[in-house]
Amino acid sequence: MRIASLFVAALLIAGIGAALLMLFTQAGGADIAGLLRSVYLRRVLEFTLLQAGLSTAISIALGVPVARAFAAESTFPGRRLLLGLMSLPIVLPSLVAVFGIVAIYGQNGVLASLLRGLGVAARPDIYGLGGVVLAHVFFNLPLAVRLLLPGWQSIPLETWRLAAQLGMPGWARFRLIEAPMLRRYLPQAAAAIFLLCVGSFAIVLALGGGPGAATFEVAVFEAIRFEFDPPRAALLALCGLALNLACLTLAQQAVGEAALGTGWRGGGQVWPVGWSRGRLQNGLFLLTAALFVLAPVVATVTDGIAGLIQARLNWPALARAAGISLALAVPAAFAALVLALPLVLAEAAARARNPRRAGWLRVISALPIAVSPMALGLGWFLILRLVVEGLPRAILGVILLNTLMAVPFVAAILRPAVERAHHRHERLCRALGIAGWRRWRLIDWPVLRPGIGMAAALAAAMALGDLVGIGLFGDARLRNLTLLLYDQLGAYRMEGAAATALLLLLLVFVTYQGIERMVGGRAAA
Amino acid sequence: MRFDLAVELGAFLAIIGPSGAGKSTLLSLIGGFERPLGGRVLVDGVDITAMAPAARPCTTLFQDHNLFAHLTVEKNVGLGLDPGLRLDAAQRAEVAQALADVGLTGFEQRLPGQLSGGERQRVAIARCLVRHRPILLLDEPFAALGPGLRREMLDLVRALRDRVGLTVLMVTHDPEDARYAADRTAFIASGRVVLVDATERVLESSVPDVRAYLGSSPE
Amino acid sequence: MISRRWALLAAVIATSAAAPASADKPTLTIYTYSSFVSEWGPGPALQPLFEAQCGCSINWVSLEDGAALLSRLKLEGVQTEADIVLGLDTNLTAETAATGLIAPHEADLSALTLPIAWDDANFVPYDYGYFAVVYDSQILPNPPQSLAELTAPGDGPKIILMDPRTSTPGLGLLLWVKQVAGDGAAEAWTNLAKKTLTVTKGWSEAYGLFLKGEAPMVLSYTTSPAYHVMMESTDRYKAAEFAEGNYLQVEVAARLKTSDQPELAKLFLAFLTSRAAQEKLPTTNWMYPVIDLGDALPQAFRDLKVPAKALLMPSDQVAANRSAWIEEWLNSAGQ
Repeated sequence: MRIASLFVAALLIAGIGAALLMLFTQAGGADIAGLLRSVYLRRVLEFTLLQAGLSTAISIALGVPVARAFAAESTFPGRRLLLGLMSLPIVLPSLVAVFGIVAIYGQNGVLASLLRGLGVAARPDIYGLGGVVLAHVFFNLPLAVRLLLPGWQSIPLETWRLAAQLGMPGWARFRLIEAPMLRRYLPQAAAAIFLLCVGSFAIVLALGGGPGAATFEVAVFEAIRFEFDPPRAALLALCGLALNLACLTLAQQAVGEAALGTGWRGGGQVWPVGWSRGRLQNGLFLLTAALFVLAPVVATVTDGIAGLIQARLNWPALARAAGISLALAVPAAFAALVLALPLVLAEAAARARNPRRAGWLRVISALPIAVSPMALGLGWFLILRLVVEGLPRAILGVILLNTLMAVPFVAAILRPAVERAHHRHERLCRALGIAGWRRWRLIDWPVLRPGIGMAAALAAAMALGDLVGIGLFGDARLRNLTLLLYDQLGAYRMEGAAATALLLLLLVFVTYQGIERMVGGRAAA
Repeated sequence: MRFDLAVELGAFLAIIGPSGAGKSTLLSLIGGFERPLGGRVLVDGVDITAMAPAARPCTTLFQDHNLFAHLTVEKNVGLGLDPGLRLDAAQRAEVAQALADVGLTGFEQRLPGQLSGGERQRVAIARCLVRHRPILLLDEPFAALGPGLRREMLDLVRALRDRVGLTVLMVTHDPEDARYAADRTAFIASGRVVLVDATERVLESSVPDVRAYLGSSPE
Repeated sequence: MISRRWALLAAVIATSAAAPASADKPTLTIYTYSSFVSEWGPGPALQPLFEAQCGCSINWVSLEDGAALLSRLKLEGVQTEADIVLGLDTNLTAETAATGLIAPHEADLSALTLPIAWDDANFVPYDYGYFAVVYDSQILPNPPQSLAELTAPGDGPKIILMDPRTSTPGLGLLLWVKQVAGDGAAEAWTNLAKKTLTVTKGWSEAYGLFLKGEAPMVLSYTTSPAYHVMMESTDRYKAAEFAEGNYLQVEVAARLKTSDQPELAKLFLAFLTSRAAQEKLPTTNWMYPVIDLGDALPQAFRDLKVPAKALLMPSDQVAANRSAWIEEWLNSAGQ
């Protein structure tokens, strides 16, 4: 596992490094010193930090009570469905999400007409920093819940019983039981969300309200598309990478090692039913979060249904596009799994003996989302051009890019399950001499299966919404559902686009559920 | 499951039986961590069925996870006095006394990770002491310890019981523990209390369930 | 196991992708922007017409937009597989020609009826349109009458714009304002920023937001209303008539020097301006044809008001100043 993980780590670093290096070798007049000193870069940096910081803070601040409520209310009917639906924004193509958000919170949205109906003069104005943050919270609140929920599930049942026995008031429970757990889980979740917000592009422009709202990714895009200056793009991507790496390292430091105490042996327990006070409060949190997150999704669905009725759809073309989407997304998901697993397994193994090394493995697993996808994609386009051409290049390129982008998410989802399994079985396996493939087949796979199912499902769903790869490696024969959606929008076909968005949503949902069940087995939840 | 069990005040009762028989569930029902579908739990004539765990006159020692890994020994014990951990001088003195009672004087500032398994359970017992609950529920807390250490712990619990006047209910899977420490023993199988009697008599009973569990004929 | 999965994948992609080119016919590779070859774009309409004429097959390579075409050409240089590049606009022609990759078109363009004279030896125009402020007449009965009014100080109805760094219409407006306002452009942008709802990455987002009623005005084309008239039978959406005239966008195609099918490429360029091809363009690309179609031009197009004046800056001037003007825009609209 150690060798495999080193190999994967080297592969990821090389994959990113080679792409950036390739950009630097291209002709272009990157005035490095000038760029680093420019007002432009400072402005981009300022806005990036501001919006990403705010978005992360709010996503986490809301994510904690919602994840807690999900953990506490472990049995209510429809919980699993709600959790699944709440995860939809994670995989929604950004343009679909923007339209959904605007349909609810926009100038002419549901909220505005509600306010009008109530006779309130004020209208929501989401364009500007507020809109960017709103959209990012919409995307990342579900992610925060996903990443934090395992934290609560890692608290042993006995700990809650102890708290009940000692009559701990709510705040003491939080301080003594949950805060130490959050210290382990929160920095990682926050870092992941921060990275995503730094890399955000279309949403920032659509809702940013003006050119003051620009992120590194906009600058990279500009450098590639208009300046045609790949070295400048690479340099900007490096600036973004430096910012992201600083953030990841900070998160790494914040986690510390003290909290990994004896509390893991029970693992996987649930909060004792019926003993959480504040059930009303939990319900309120769940309801509010569900409303906030699901309303734009519902708007997308109702628009889509209207579109299905109004627009004349070319079903064979849609089916073919859906087939291409799946054919590109599923291999990427499994490839990401193959890359992420050794990293996470090795990280868990190194945690006790060599925390520094575990920390590095963790940072490396997050690396692909720390790099500008545009720069990464262009670099790989240039590299692949030397090796293959035509349709195979497009297929390979799209899958490669989606694989890289999915690795951090797969790793984040797998990590808690892998750590728990490691904690439980490591010594036993060593004692019994169960190792290698046999250990994987007999011990790790059955235990990790639900987590693996969830990770693969998420990766596939994310790859279904891909646009960067397909746009970059574009081949007219490779029109997936996302591209079809953009084509419709570009051809005034708003109803058709709404219908396609709904179909994409359905495809994402069905694929997610299908893979989670197929790979994860029945126990998946 | 359906339990029917009466325990005298001040008794030291061992609860034995095959795994899955419901030993821990019985203790959870008394401790208040699970709610019965029907029936009542009475202590000294008072119905405690609807009470929260903290309000009950019991304190439970679990097999594991009795301590918070990030809190010092002193704070872990102090939680028994004030779950918000605002301890005054008198309370700190009481914590020190409890630690002395379990033989851990001077361990106040250590973290659980620096203690042995036996020491960790002693800290947990110290916390039970400062809570001043008349009933002590032991859910196999010494199962992970060696025989010598286990006897030491049982001695400690017995001594404390005699001094403070506790009623002790102890789930164990080792009949020797019962023989060593408990005056009386309840045998549980398939969610029922099959037999309650003096420990020796239970261990030598010819009831087939008991024999099957102990795996030997009466001596 | 793994190889079987890959084989399966290849099979799925092969069956889902369009029919591959047959081996014995020559292939013409055309780089274009995505919406040109979408189901609703001109590509599917033009392809059978040309293939029947040339005995060849077309291989479309679709990229995001016109700017992506140029950067792809720069990237690939002489190794490019493209025979034809289709979908650049006049703002990019100077820069494209400067790559040295473009061969003279050698086409007869005497039939052109563009609003401007066309004497470019490299690029063949195939359609054109005017950028315009399109408004919702139900919400805004009295739209601005001029660019000066739109960019005057004070409050006014909101407009959705596009970023000149990422979109062609966005760049068009930048040049439009520059040409009309000259040195007053910075002030005009500062004023316009107060009336701007948001500045999106591309036309699609902006137009989508507009149709959702987020703002009563959007930057688009004078031909946009024709779509709503023809396909949705509504004249609700109209293009504002600006006294200063409208900025022109001419979309062009060119053949590459490196092409191994120069004759086919020339044939295609000539085909583009033929009547058969031009008749397909108005209702697929929603732009004006470059030759006079007479009655074959749809009624909705004939009903459109033609702008008072067609504004267009020389391509080399655009290439030389774009960065500086974008910087000016960033500084005046961005704060």
